[in-house]
Amino acid sequence: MTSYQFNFDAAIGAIPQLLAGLLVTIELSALVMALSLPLALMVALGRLTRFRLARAVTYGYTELFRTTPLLVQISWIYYVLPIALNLHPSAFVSAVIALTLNLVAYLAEAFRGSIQSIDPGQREAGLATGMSEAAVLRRIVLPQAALRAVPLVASNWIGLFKNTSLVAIIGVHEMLFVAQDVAQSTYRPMEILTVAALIYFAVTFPQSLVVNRLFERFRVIE
Amino acid sequence: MNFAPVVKFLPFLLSGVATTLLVSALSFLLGMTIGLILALFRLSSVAPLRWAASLYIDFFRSTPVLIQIIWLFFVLPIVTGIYLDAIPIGILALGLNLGAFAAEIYRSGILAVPTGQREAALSQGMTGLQAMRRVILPQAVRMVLPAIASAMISLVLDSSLVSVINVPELMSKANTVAGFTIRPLEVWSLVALIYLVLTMPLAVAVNKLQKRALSVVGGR
Repeated sequence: MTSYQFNFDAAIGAIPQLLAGLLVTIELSALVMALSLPLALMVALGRLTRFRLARAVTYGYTELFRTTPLLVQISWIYYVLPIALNLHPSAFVSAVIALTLNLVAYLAEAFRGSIQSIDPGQREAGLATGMSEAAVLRRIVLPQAALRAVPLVASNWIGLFKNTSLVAIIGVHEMLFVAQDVAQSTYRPMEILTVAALIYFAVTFPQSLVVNRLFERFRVIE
Repeated sequence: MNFAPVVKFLPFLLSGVATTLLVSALSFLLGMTIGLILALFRLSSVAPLRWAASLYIDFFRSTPVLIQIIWLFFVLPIVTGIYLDAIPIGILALGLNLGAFAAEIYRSGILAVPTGQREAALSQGMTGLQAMRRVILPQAVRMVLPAIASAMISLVLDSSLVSVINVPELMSKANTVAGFTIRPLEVWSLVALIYLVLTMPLAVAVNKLQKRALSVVGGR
């Protein structure tokens, strides 16, 4: 052990700033999830459609975003918008776009799994009673698939909440960015990062308990 | 787009790939070992072991891996007085994080083996540990192979995060090249492609394993 003197004064003084950063973390997560849910449903349906082109495009999209690091995606979006499209959004907007594109790929796979888990006999029965494909999807398949997707959405939410920390690299003032910023100016990285980690834990852990409950409650017994 | 200035740096980027693979492989071994120990602790009859394992798992799963990496980088030298290179710290941080997720994977596999098998093994005179090692674990691991393979994909992707503590892996080298050539778009496109090539075989393996697992349990 070294004779390091712990001093949490700077860390405690930084709590209001860290909580302001936490608010940005929460805003980012909520916005990204709200945008991702409808988009992911469209991509999931694209992967299950009869149209080969739509299947190929959605397959390419989900695999591309699930086999490359989020950090690369964030950097890529941050540069592609101004350079290729001549758009100059704020770092926050750029972060929302990158996180949404990433989350949609994962959510779409979760939705696809939920839809495919519905017994195909139900679809056949619906068609046999004279319902159209669309009506079968809307009235029979999707309502059941949605229930099965609830815990999956919830656990993706937790992943998203933690992943927002990555947009610190493009300068979005979420909690990790604030923590590093204050750590540098006060020379107390250990205490400040510890407090920031504890805040993440205090906010995320109760949510993961809810996720566990959801998995119990929505468990499918066939 | 002009890839010519970037392609010159391809060997430089590929040396980063070697580090990415090294970091991923070693943290995988570390994480899978920690995970197995934690899973056995969580299922142990000794209460303090269960609590300690739960606390570890909950903590590492409820905080971002990026803050864990940065935290370890600053805290390890301060608290222990040991100054490690960035690469071992990166491996340690990723391994400690994977351990928490791997523990849950092992646990779900172990719990999925019918309890009758353990009872049968014990009635044959095996000790609890022997039953675990010879009867339960081999079946449990086979059942969770798809989950282990997708954890491997996440790990390769997460290894990009150790670039923040300057581990000279692919992401880190890409940052250098992007700054040097002022061609960020081309660099990030190329780097995305390299990661895709690294992880795609694993992604294909996950799909195959999942289909096989379903056919084993008699799913549709």
